[in-house]
Amino acid sequence: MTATALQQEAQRAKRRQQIGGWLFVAPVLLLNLIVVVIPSAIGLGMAFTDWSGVGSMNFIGLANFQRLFQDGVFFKALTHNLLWTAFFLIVPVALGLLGAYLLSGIKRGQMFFRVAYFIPYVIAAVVNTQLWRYLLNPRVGIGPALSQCCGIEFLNVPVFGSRDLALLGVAFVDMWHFWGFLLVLYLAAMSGVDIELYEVARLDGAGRWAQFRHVTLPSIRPTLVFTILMITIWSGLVFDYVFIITGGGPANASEVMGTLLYTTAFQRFEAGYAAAIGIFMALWVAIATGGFVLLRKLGWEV
Amino acid sequence: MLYLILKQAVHTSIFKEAAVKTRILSVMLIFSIVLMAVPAVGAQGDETVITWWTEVGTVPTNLQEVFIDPWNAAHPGYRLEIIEKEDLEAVLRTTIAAGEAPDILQTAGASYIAEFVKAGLVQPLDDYAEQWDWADKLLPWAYETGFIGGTLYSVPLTYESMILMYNRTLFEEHGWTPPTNLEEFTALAEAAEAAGIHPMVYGNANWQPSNEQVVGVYLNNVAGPQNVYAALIGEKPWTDPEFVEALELLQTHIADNGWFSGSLENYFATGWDDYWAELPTGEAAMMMTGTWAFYMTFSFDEAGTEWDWAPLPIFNDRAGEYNYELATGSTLSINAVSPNADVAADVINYLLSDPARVLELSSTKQFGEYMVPLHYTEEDFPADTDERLIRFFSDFAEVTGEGRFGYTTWTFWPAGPNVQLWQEIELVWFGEMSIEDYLARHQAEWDAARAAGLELAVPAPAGVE
Amino acid sequence: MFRERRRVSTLPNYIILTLMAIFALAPILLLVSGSFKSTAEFTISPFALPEELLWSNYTTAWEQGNYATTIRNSTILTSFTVLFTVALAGLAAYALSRLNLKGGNIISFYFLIGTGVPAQLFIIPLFYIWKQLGLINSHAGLIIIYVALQAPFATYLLRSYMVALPQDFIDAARIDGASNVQVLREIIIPLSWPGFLTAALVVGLFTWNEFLFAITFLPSPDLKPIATSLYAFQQRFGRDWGLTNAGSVIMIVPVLILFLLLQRNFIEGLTQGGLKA
Repeated sequence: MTATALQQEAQRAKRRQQIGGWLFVAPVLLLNLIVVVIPSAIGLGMAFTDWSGVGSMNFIGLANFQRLFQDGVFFKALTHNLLWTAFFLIVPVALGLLGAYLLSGIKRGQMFFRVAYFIPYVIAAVVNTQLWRYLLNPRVGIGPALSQCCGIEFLNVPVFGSRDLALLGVAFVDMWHFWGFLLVLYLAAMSGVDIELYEVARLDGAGRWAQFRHVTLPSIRPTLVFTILMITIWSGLVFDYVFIITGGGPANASEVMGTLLYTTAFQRFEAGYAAAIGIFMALWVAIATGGFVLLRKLGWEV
Repeated sequence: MLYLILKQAVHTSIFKEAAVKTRILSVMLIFSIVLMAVPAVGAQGDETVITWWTEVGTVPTNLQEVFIDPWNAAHPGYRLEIIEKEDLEAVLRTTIAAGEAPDILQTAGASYIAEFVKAGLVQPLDDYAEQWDWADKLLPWAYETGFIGGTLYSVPLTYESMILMYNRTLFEEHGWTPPTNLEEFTALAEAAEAAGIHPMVYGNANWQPSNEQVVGVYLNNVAGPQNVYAALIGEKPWTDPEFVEALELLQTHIADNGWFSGSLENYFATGWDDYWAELPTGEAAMMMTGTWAFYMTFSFDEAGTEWDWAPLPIFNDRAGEYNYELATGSTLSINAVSPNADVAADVINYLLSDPARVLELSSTKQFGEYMVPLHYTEEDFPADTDERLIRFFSDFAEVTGEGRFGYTTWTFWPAGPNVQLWQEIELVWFGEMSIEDYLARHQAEWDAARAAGLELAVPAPAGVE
Repeated sequence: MFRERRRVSTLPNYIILTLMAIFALAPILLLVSGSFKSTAEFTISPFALPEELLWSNYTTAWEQGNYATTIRNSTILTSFTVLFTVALAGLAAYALSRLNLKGGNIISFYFLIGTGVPAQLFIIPLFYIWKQLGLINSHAGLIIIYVALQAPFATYLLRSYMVALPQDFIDAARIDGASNVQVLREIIIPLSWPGFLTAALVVGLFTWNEFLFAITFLPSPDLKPIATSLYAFQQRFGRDWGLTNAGSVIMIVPVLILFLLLQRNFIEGLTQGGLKA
């Protein structure tokens, strides 16, 4: 064979590989296109109409967005999504890192612990929310029980009825079911860290915290960044736990974009306006992902 | 060659995981056994099926024997299917535009139907009403609530009112009697508080719109039904002082005094299971609630106490003598694209035609659900019916027959103002919005609903031309 | 001496880890213990162990919740969804991780955020499309939706896993003339087995617990999944805590058993995959 023939052959093989590759991706892409992308595009298009959810609609341009920018409740909800993100980036990540770090330092019982931490994650939201609504009930929950037996008062408050605590309370319940998942992810990443790095650090006189800070954290950075991205995306879309426990109340104290979209579409019958809120939720996801892509471009291995 | 060695290596590593494979295989085996047990979905014969979706948890336990079976027997060639749907409202709205909704549409109230009417999704019922004299069968005010723009589009499946339910055992112990006016109510509430008892229990932890029930009571019983009526038909603005006064009194009771469940925070954290624990055990004395609560009175049996009810106290003389709020619960309509509209109408007519059968159905829910607003006499009620229930239904018929009635928000308010009413009142209660602003916004919602032609039919109370 | 110090130093680990385990498990133990109580006992002592095991809660819940039907339906929905999702996602992940697709990175990111659209936004148009395609009121129609919703994230997971596989194996196979399908079957799948398990678990959990799409796309009561049983329970017997708890336990026991059976491989799946992009 001549060199050109070889080259042609190689190119043909490359093309074949490309076509084969696209054939492999096609089913997932196509399904997602039909089920999510096209209907979502239609749904988002409603943001420019006065559609009630049933029947006819009129094109009203950007009127829904004008209204949105003056809607105090929407900004409240958006703020709550930001607070929610902050809470989830701090509390479950810290718990997950701490637990994973401690767990990676032991041998006996490791299996038991990681299973225990993961179990809340496999339980449905309908069950978890009902459980915690009972546990935090101001009349019969753990609050009054602790108050009666041991005089501990800080939990003896109607958590989901309080303006100051409702959002935090719901976030806590969601966090309770989620942190074990993070822990297992971090544990997985930590088990891949080279033991020799710890030995070297120890020889340099590094304590536990220094080892964690200078060996563990940098080594698991890809996983950490991945979870941060996922948490940021999910925090913009949060719906089920808030909807089931408080419905966004009291007085919008736990309102998030997801619950606001639901009430707007299905209780106020303003599907067009709800779609405008939906566009902002999609925007949230786009911004979060954009940041992620930027980090990558800047050379972070994530 | 290298490939073969690698292949060998990979396979060996799989064999190490033989245990995994066995486990996965057994899981798959279980799946396939379950799958084989699935019977094929066969044809159901050549009967025409009439479908009706209803809310989960509201269905009388004897619906099949008392309603569906007799109807099927009387209509050869047709089969009635009443299906319990989760989250009925949202599912109906998702499916109806695609023409996939059932023949008989059940919605949560008159304001929902207005939307469907505007979109041309439900059929006019006037011809059926005329053919079968529905105007005579239904209570007049209830029949009226089905009209939108002069055309009948729905009939109520159930009717309700607000009452004051109380723990009779507790009242007897303390020598209390049900309050009829503001002074008595205040005195009783203070006495209860002094005894370490919550004057009332209520909350919205399970159902956020529960707020509207409370707001409705104060609007009616402070401002008076005549003023509410004038505002409903657009002859009086909601910003008038009578309505401000009503919400100020509610503010005092619910926020300042914490008479609903102990504190405003408790109100928001209190749900159904709490009512039915606190009231029967005497942790709370009273509850302003709807007649659907009759269904839960068995909780008192469990606690070994007695319950009773009284009309709600009138908080201001201008509201006149005591009255009952008019309310329809769910409504029934016929899908505009139903191919069997006449038969579907026959199902509805079947429901309206026999008061005794309705009571037999509704008795399984203590007359809290499927209580179609027909003309009942005491003899129609099953023999073992509780005296307190009969007392309510007779008195309700008599008093509202004289035109002494108020208005519930979920029957007479269009969706926009209705949602604003129960959502933003929370801001008022927490002091984040003034009563004046709240009512001004309420008026704006009404103006918008009127402009869109979404007003509902409102019967006039006594003393109004 | 070094060893001695280390043994002592793991004690705080165990203390904190145990506290965390209590935090995770105590509420669930309360749920299970409550499922054996009568309402009366529950009201008086919600946190104590049951005086006697009231198994009748379970038989009543089983019948009232119509679990025989709903568990069967959820099993069908879950097993087929998992099967198809993992199969399709495996193919896509292989192409994205190993075939140097042009534009592959963009697709990977699209897959990552593909789950980021609120369902309330597209469910009405989707229902309309499904009606036109005649896919309403059938398990197959709902399974297609579930697969479409879950496959992108599963692809992303599996891709992370496959990226980490050593390239030498694949190169060697290629030199020996193996086709794409052969490489996938003989090398990639066996080596990423735990990754597939992980994806299957995540997809399975989602499907088992799903409610919104199920109630919308399956009008017929014979086809309802298990989440509707629990919903009906909370509507009808919300006050009967023992019964409602029993209904909850029935719902979580199957996934719990499956998880406990497969958890070792599942967690290894995460370990080896490292979830790297």
